Amino acid sequence: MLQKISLALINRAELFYTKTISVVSFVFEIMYELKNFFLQRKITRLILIRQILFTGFEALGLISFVAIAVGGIIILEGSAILPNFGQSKLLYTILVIIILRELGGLLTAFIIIARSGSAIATELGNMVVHQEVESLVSFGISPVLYLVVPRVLGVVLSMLALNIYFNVAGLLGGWLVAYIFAPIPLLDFFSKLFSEIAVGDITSSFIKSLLFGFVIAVVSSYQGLQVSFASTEVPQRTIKAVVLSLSWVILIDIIITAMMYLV
Amino acid sequence: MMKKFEANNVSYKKENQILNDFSFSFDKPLIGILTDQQDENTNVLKILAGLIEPEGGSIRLEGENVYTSFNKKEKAIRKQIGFVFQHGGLLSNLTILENFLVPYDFHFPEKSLNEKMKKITGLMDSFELSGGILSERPAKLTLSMRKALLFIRTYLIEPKIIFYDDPFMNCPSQIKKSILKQILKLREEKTIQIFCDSIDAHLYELADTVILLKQGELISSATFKELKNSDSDFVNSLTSKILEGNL
Repeated sequence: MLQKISLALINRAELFYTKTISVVSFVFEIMYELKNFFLQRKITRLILIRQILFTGFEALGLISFVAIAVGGIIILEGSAILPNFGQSKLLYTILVIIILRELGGLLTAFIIIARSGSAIATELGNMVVHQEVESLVSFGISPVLYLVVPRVLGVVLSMLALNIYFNVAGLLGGWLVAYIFAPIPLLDFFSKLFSEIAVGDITSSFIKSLLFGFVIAVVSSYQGLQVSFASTEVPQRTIKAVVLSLSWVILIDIIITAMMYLV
Repeated sequence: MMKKFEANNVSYKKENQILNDFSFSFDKPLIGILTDQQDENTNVLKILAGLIEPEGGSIRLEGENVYTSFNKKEKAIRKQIGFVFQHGGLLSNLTILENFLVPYDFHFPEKSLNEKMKKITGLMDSFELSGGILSERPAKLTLSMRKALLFIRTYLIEPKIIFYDDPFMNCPSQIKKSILKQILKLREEKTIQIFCDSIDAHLYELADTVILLKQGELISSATFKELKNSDSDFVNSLTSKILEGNL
């Protein structure tokens, strides 16, 4: 019995080791191909532009809706609860902390995972099944250079831009709701808000969005390319990409937030 | 002049032994491969084309290993090797023109778009395909059109060695005729062309050499005519199967 358990544990450890090596070498390959990306702009530019259009531009509507709604909800809840404790002045601090430090990055990442992460895994998985990846290899074109690097760059840049957009829209949403209940000029609202924003808030938001974008694109591309031949593997890998991306994003968020308070 | 292309003691095993200590010098322009494991035809070609890494031995073009790991030197090797897949292989999210330009721009970045378009339309004409389909996505085209486009995309790079996996699959007679014409033209130009065909004996009859594999092992290499007259039961059974279209 004990022997069986230890054998199973050893197998698990071996599998974990192999997978870790595979993921790490995939990340290194992406880094290596980054320099070739700029040398081969002619063929990779189109993929990058399409990725930015899909991940960034086409998500603007959803991001606007979520951001304005969240900003409004925070103001609504805050103005209902905080006065009971005599802490109305904390409303701006809470709005900045929640939107800028936490929800802006997290919700943008969740939307990108749902839209682009799943799309990347599905698209690449289908490309493997239909021999499209192999045909690139037959021409000597690295799938990492042609398929993964533009997607990683596209998602990282889009994540960064969408996060900034989310933060602005979220704060604007807060003002809109605040204006309905207690009209306050936009400039007054934002000057109070800006006085609450620290450089650390912007830095952590920037670092988080860079890392979130990178992790989502790498995990989704890796899972998509792990499809071997059957189209039934595609949805399985897509689910895996979404779940792993979510887990990694939350883990990174916890680590960076903890570092912000500890350092 | 023909390139020096050879397999040295190549072995590869999946569920079956696909290649077993296979050595051969591909010194004729049109070479067919007949195997007793039809399911493994594609894998045999992929190993020889450097798309699958063999477990043992090596495949060398002018002395250089052809297995791809995407370094600069190997880019130059890959440029010389073309592979026409049985089906699939066109990038589905790109138009046909973009599909042509991806490998073309990769290997010939110095050529102008005009030069490229001239070459593309020339090849499209030889397959009697209209230029109008260049702006379409592969999914909008028929299987036979997509097959013809796979040939055109490979020929654009002007490889010195071309692999064909079931070249006539899904091909109506018109496209088959165009493919044959191109293959024979390239044969005259001394381009090495290696194929596996499981449905048609015609190309085997035209081939300069046919390689016979039994469980991945080289049994014989001769012209198809010579193989048909062989005394060996194994050879006879394979040649008659392909002639009957039952391989």
